[in-house]
Amino acid sequence: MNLIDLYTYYRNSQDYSLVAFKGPFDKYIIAAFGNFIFQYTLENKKIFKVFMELAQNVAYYSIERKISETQNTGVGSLAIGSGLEKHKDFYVFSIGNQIDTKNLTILENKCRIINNATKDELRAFKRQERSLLPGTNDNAHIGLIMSSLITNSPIDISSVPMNNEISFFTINLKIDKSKPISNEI
Amino acid sequence: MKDIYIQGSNDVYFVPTVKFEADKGKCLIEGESFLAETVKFYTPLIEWIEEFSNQKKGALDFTFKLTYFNTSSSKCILDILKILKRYENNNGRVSVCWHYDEDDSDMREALDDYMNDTEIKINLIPY
Repeated sequence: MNLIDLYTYYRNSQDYSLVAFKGPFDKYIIAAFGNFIFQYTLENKKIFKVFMELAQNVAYYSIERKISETQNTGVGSLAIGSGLEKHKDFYVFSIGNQIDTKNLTILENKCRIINNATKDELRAFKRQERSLLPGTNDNAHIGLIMSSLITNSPIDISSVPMNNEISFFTINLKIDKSKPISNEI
Repeated sequence: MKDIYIQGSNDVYFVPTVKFEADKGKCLIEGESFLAETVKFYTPLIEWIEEFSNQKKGALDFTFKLTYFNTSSSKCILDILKILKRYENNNGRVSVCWHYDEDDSDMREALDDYMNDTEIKINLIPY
């Protein structure tokens, strides 16, 4: 019995030597991966911070839900590459989840604004969005802003329609492995 | 006033260590902050500071040693700093310091933004 071609999944995940995962982004997964990433990338906290921001977005906003008696968690996919020769200068980070296709344009526009903003403008956006927060976990846009600020690079997005109503939305980031410069501000 | 002590953990979620001592006028928040219910966690801390500034009215020495906080935590920290600034404006003696990794430029930027947003002086202590 071979219910899933795990070798094909394994082979396709070769570039993502740090993490390749599909499943619910519940509190246990976020804490476990967060701790693992934190310990594995001690020289560079950027990847940990980006993971924490965007994993929470999947948990809250993926329209694919894993529902149990105690939890209602978004399902998504995560892939982090490191260690290969082609990744020697940076981590590759991809995270994705199902979205309502009607929301795709909003997300694309938000990412376009973020990518066209200067660093100072991004910091102003972050402060503006934060001041509007009610203190809940409603922070999808600020998560994108934070990711761009942390990586100091554009957010690359892509989407694949799954049917007439649902698309799979992916965020791709490159995260520089070089040690941050303390006086870069 | 009662003291507050919360032992930090990172088993499920990242809970910061909290140590608020009323008689000594010393407060510490240390570790990482990513919580299930952020507002529920920080509300008693905010209420403690308000009670201290309204009733105790002593000097308050506030130390942050947070190495990571998520977005919703950052809003609660902003609220704490605003209350501390209000206390200072009402002639309260407030000292705020923040220990941070000197290689963590994101944290340094976040602290600059906090100072701009609240106009409170944070003594930055790199390590």
